[in-house]
Amino acid sequence: MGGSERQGPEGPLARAARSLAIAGGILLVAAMAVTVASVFRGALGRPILGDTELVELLVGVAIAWFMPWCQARRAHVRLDVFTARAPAAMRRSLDAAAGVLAAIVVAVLAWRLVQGGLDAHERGRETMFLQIPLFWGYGAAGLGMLLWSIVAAVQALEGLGFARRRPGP
Amino acid sequence: MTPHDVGIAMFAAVAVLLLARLPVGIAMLVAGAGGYAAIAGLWPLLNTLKTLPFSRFSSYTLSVIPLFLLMGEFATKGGMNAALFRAARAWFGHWRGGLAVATIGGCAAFGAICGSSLATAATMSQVAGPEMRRAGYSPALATGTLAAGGTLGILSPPR
Repeated sequence: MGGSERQGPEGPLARAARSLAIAGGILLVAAMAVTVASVFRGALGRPILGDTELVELLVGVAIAWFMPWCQARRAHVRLDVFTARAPAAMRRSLDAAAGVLAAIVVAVLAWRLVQGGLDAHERGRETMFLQIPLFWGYGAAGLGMLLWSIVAAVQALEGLGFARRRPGP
Repeated sequence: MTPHDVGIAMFAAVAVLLLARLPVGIAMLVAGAGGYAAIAGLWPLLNTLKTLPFSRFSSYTLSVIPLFLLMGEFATKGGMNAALFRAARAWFGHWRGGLAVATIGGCAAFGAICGSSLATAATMSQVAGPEMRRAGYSPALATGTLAAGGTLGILSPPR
């Protein structure tokens, strides 16, 4: 850990993805704080009611918010054993095609998530104990998916040479 | 197509998509969604996708991972890897090639705690590397041992 996270992709989109990931990290710290507090209070016989659903919401949004930064750093797990010896040009075009497909798939996910959030809002879906409206989680996760899709699309376009390629390492 | 045929086609689809360097998660999602649409239809798929992705992310079980990684960081900074390497050395050190065996043992024990290949390889190299060099191991064997053992970190849960 540490160190390797310091350098990375640059540009406004990458900065946005990075900020969203940091915000997700803050949510994750909040989820950890809730867990720790609940365990301590549980030891005194008064655990926090509905702590699991708070943690679930926070973790769900945090994961969705990490995804754009993961894409910006091209850190999603891929199999490159079989194409490691292929010519660089072929790998680049494969990566661009994969990027376009990923962008489309994630855009569909974002669309469905927002739709699901609207449904949850309409039907007033809430968590069981704390009655937190669920559409917050869906909307926030949809934001992460949307940015993920944009980052993937821009990467693919850069790979195909349509967009200005930033000087990379 | 029967559901059975769809299943076989989806296996083939995952293999092709992985070879095309698509991220593993996306490849599995595409194949699974395609199979679902082929069997149940497009609208059921789109309706499932309204709630399924978020309920997959929003899982209480996943909340242990950040705590686990934090524990791994503490163990790394606390010098636990050196202690584990000493223990493995006491057990296996008297064998022929015992230092290499002890390195693998230390890596396995530390990887089980830490869960990160990068951290395991980096810290075990600092502890076991100089020891092996001092014992006259060839650099090829020493680094090979560390590379093989260090990457055990990712195999043990949860990462």
